[in-house]
This record gives sequence, structure tokens and C-alpha cells, in this order.
Amino acid sequence: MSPESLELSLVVILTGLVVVFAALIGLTALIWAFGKIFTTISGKGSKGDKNEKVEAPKAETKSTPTVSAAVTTDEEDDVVAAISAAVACMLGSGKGFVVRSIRRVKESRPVWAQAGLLENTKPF
Amino acid sequence: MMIVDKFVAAVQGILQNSGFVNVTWQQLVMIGIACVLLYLAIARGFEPLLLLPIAFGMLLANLPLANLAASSETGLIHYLYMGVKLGIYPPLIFLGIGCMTDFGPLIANPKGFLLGAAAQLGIFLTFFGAMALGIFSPAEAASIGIIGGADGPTAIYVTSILAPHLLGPIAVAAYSYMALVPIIQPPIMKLLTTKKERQVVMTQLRPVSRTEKIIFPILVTIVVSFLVPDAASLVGMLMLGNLMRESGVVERLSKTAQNELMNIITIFLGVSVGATATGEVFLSPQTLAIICLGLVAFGFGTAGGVLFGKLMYIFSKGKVNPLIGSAGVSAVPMAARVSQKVGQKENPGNFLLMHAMGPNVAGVIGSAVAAGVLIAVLK
Repeated sequence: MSPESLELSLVVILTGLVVVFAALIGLTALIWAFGKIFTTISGKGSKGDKNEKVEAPKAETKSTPTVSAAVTTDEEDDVVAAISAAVACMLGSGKGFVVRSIRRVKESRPVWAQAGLLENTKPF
Repeated sequence: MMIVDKFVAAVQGILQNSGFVNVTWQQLVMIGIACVLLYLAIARGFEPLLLLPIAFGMLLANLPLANLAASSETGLIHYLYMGVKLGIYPPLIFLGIGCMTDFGPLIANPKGFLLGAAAQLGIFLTFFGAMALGIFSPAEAASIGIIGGADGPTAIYVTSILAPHLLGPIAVAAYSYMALVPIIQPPIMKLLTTKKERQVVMTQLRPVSRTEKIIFPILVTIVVSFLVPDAASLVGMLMLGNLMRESGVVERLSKTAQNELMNIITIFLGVSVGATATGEVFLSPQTLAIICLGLVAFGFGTAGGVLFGKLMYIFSKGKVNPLIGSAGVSAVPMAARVSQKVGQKENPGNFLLMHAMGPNVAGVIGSAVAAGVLIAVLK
């Protein structure tokens, strides 16, 4: 590579990256500022956003048998029976298991919303 | 006897003027390549909307004596090619894309712009690589580098201005790699990120008002065009399309731009770009180098986006999933789908699609700006 070509290449790379970043950083700042103004005008403010902490949806109940929690009422017994049946079904026959405890997983979004999302994004 | 002689002479004349006698080996090879590309488009579904007309244009251009190459002085394809040569088709395609694009995720999280900028790294590094090879002029190297923008119309626009003789190989490389994004990107994304980073669940995006969506295209057009006037025709048409969509008052125009008009332009663009690939131009070591450099461009673009995503992960204290960075290489919406897919593999309950759409559409603006810079410096 000749010195002239090298110089030209470096000039193009530097100019290109600086201009692209300058343009897009400028747009980031502008759109961000507009966003702030609009959320303030609409009266919601940024408080709601800050309090809205979405947690990671954790794995299915299958993985939580070691955590202890009391299971008392009849209704919960039914739930335990249903979960045990589901686990037995997944594991197949001939494999014994003991359900020591069942704990409700903290959800970031309701199960039905999650199922809907999964169905909608499946083709992707 | 006279009749038989004349009959033989006539048949000989037809034979002499037929393709069978006049075909060159380059034309035969190119017809073979066109058939392979047609197979990829039809049977494998590789960007069929563009690869099919491009491949058929290639076939037409290499028919002996048919005079259907874009470089010929007359004929159907020559006139259709004027739309490419004069820079008309790519901005019109952008008009349709603007009508189909929802910039909501980008407005909700404008930091996506930065990822869209970082993913343009591939363009400039590939430009350097092409220059280092020593077989390309600066204008040719820039046209090859723009493949890294992963944006077909932008690549065609830049090439038609800077190096029109390379339109065929560059268009084929750009669209082929765009179809291969789901294969090219995931290994790079996995290589550059840790399992913990890939599992990051991002907070839900805020809802964006209609007024914001209407102001956005006007604002972007003004800012980008003031800074890089050479990008104005691409960005301007993209944003006109988007304004038609978001304003909601010209639904008829929006529908036409994203359906009929875009389909018509796609046919003209595909066929005429394909018809630039004649044997003499396409069958050269340069084409091979373009195909290799195109892959490098895609790789570096993806890496640039992901690495910037990692930086954002660190600065946001783990709130940004670096996987959305790879979507910065335009290729809408394929690259965003890839981010979604790779993220969901690590955490089935993670939905990165909308978060990745921000950098994805920012990548379109970013590559248009990069194109403007290259044209301004090297024209």
C-alpha cells in the first residue's frame, strides 16, 4: 500500500466514523430531549418509569423443588397434585421423584401475556 | 435445386446469427451462475424478492446477440438501467421502506442510534482492507466497503455513483450476505459475549406518542441532510415515507409507496442491476475479492455493534443486552430477528426483538450517513 493510499484510507476512516457518530449522537441527544419534553407534557413524568422494575422471568417450577415454603390449604394441594402430575408426565414412567416444596416464581409479565408473546415471535 | 440452395442458405444464415454459434465461454459460465442464483432464490428462499430479478437480469445480459446488457447502448434493459445510473431507484425503495418502518423503538430508546453508528465500523474497515489489497481504486474500495452497511439500496446507490462497473458483483454480494445474516452473525455474537451478558432482560420500552413519531422523520431529515447533504436523497425519501405512514392522513399514498410502487421499482432495480453482470466484468479476480471482502464487512459490522453493546452493558451496569448491537447493521428486520433468536436461546423468556429494532432502523440511517460521507469524500 502506497503512502498516499494509506493516508487517504486513514482520512476516510477517521472522517467517516467521526461524522457518522456525530450525526447519530446528535440525533440521540435531540430525540432524548424530545422524549423528556413529551413525557413531562403528558403528565406521566419519569417517576413511573423508574419504579417500573421488570425482573427476569425465571425458569419453570420444575427447577425450584429445593426451596422451602409451607403448603397448607386444599386448593394448594390441588395445585401441588397438578404440578406433580405434570412433572411425572415430563419425566416419563419409572422415574421416582419427591416434591419437597413448590414456590411461586416472580413474574415480569403474566403467563398468558408470555404465551402470547412467544406465539407472536415464534416465526422469527 | 434453386429452392433447396436458398433453403440451405437461409438455415445457415439463421444458424450463423443464433446464440449457439456466437456464445462465448464467459456467457455460458454466467448463464450457469444465474441459474445457481435462481435456484438459491426459488428453492432456498435467499432474499427471493431481489435475488430472483437480479439473477434473471444476469441471465438476460449474457444471452448472445440479445443486446440486453445494461452496458448496451439501446434496448429495454439499457433504459431501465437509467433509473440505477441516475440514482432514482434506491431512494424510491427507501420511500417504501420508510412507509413500512416503525421508528417507535428507536424513539423510545434513542441510545439505539449509537449502536447503529458502531455497526458501520465494518464499512470503513473493509474500505481499508480493499485499499490494502492494491487492486481497487479508492472509489471502488468505498463501494465494496458499503456492503458492510447490509443495506441493498444504499450499496447500489453508492456503487452507481462511485464505481458503476462493479454494480453486478457488489449487488450480488450484498443481497447474498443479507440472506445469510442468520448464519454469519450468531457465531460472532456468541464469541464476543458472555453467557451472563446474553441473558440480560431489558426493561420494557416506554410508549411513544403519535406527535413524537410525526416529529421524528422531519427532525432526522433536517439534521442528517444539513450535516451530510449527499445522504439527503436516501434519508429524505426514507423519512418522507415514514411521515406518510405516521401522519395517518395520506394512507392511500403510504399504501401505494410500500406496495405497488416499491414492487415495480424492485423489479426494475433487480433486473437492471443483474444485467450489469456481463461475463467480461463478473468473471474476474476482482469479483472473488469483492465476495470475500463483503463477508469481512458483515463480520466487522456485527462485531462493531456487539462490542459497542458490551460497552453500553458496562456503562448501564448490566441493563443493556449486547446482543442488540449486532442489529445495528441494517438488514431490517432480519438482524433484529437474529438478536431475538440468540437471546431467546439463552433465556426463553427474553424478548429482545423490539429492543433490537431500535439499533436496526438506526443502522439504516447510519449506513445512509456513511454512504453520504463516502460519496462526499471520494466523488
